[in-house]
Amino acid sequence: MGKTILVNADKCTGCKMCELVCSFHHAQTFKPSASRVKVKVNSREAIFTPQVCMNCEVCPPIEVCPVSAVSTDEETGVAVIDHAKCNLCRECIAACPYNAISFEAGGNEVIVCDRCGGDPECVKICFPEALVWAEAEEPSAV
Amino acid sequence: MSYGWAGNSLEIDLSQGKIEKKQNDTKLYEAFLGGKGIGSKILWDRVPPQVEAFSSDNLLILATGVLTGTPVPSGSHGCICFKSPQTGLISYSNMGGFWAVELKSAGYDTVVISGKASSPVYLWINNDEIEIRDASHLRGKDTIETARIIKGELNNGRVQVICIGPAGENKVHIASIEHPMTGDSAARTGPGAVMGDKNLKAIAIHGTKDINIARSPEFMELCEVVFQKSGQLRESLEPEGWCAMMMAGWDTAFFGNADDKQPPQPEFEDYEKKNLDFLKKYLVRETGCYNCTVRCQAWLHLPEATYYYPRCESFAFSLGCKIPDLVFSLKCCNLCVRYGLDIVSTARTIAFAIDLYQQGILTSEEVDGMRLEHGNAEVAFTLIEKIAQRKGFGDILANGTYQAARVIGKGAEKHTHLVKKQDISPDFFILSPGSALSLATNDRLDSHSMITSAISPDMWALPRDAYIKGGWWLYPAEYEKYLTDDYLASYNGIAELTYYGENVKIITDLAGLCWWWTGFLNYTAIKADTIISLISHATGMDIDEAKAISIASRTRALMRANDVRLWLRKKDDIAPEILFDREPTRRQQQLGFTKLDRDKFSGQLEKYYELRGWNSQGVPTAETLDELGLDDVRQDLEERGFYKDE
Repeated sequence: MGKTILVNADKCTGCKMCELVCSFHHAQTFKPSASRVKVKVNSREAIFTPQVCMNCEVCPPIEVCPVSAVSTDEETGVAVIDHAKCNLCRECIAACPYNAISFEAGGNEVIVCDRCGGDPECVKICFPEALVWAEAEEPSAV
Repeated sequence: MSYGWAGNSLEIDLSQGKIEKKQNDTKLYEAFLGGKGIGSKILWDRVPPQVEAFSSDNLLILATGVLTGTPVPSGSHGCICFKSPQTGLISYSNMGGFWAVELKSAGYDTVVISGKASSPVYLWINNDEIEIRDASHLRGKDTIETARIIKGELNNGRVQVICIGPAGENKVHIASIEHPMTGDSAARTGPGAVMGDKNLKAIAIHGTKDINIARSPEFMELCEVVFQKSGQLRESLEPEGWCAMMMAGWDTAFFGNADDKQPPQPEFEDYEKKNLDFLKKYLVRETGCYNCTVRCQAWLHLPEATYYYPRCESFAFSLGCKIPDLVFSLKCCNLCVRYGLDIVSTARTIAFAIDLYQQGILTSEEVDGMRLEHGNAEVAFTLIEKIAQRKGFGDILANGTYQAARVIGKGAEKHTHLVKKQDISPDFFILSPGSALSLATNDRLDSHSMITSAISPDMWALPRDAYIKGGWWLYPAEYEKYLTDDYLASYNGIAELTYYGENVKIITDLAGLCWWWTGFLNYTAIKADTIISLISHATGMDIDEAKAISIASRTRALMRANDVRLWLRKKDDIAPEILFDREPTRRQQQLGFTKLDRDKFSGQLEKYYELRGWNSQGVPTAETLDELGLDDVRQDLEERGFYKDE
């Protein structure tokens, strides 16, 4: 298995810079809803959790998609959407345990992290190192 | 398509329940950029001097900056502009967090709120859907509870809420607008009271629209440069973040109680170790505002399961009540946040009351039978509640120390420490002439962030030379000549330093950035030229230094003109008397401070007026106003007779 994005929520300060650069990289605009990574905020306990595709061995969106539009990338293991097949039913959004699949406000397709082709923008911008690009086998970083 | 700006603004009339969406006047936004610039222009046009702070004609203006919501680090700020009940002047409060970005994402640069609702309401801005909703169920609820209920009602985790607590509802003059669970508030000079007077309990905002940049490759490249420079800023806050600095300076602070003969008391010494011990015990997590990596906020878990975000001046209650225990001071701050009170003014007000009692000016009968003693935590807790609820003696204190002193009489005025009717922060650096001049002249009244830039070379671990050589000082090379060995006590060049520092900070405000990044006290990662380039790339306008200075000067001149047509005069541009009259403490002297000199100060004040293009009475001259394109302002001041002696 190659490198992947590892999340350490303990280090996240909740600044959401990852959302901004992600939306700019993919949609050339600054719009958090167009971001493939989302920071979940628990303001009562100040817990911030960046949520992104976690390469699950069993990917629930694949199971629920009625038109078999979701698959996993052989190389990176992340979920991939076949937009030609997708009928926008959004079952996958509900099924993903990490809220990694979403629908851009005003957009016309479901979106999911593509690891920016192996050089993720969110990791580069994450100063607290809550997001790191590392070998998936390193359990200590998770 | 609009670049940089969202392109629209909102007009909300609470009396009529009217909501109107307007396209921005491009010329206006190009002349004032955003934030307090736009705010002060609208206030000049629509709030004439006879309008009282508590009038349905007073406006509450939320104004984002031109870079708010873009990836420029710290681009999360917005201004709240209004006529202040505490000072009677045009005022603004700058707040970070997440609300301003959400507002811009909803498609609005500015929200102008007028009128008064007949019963408590809250405003729900959800992209194009704007609603004025009933808030009677929120009456009397504290700020944190209010935000929790609203978020539950709207069932949307990304909604941002700013709201007032009971203090704002009761029109306490020192009430704040809070941004609960983020550690941010717009606190100084009473924005919460104006919001309360409008019967507006909260504003909930959610937006999902695009924010566009005109020249994005250049813009992102410049952001990258800023990111690369930001390492030092972050490292300077290791290992415990800003939180470790929370109490920095409390051994040198300046509370000015009448019996403060020679502070610090021994208990206040060794604060650095005490801070770290405290943090080890209570710090849960460091956080910050939207789009910022400085981590200047922290989530503390205090005893008795109280969570709290500390902020500057969190030690104020310890000083005011002479209780050297951070947990006590933070508990007071936590109460202030929940009631929606300004921490600095509340601490000052309570210290003032205790001081008067100790001097025999107030008796037990006058203060509801209490014994106002130093060292008694219950006194502080009770007074905070009384102020917020306007109960008994708290009703007098709720109008701030300036007005309270006039009601109490018997020489109580001598025990206030004010700049233009506003209580000052207890920071020691106001003893530096440069900071004192800035304190006396700036439009933000008391603001330790505004007044510190000149003295920053000595506030950090780096030696002064390395700091300057490293390019961390916000001033250009030609200002280095003023950094003589004794500059902390020197009057040489302070007018120039004040003028330049103020311009940078005005541009920062108009851009919607945070002063932490543009030269507050620390490693300046975004210098003036960078802000100007960022604004140019974002909007597609071409702004150079001269144009940027004229935009800053226009905003400053407009605010000044508004203040002089209210009540401000040259005699009010003065630092608090105590800085001229009392010898600094031993510790302050060790740092190189001396007491201020009236004549030298006055000479530099006139020099500052000259740099600003104001006359010897501190009124912007007709020529200055014409040059800045403020002909209507010049005409108004002429009609009011401000130039008849010339």
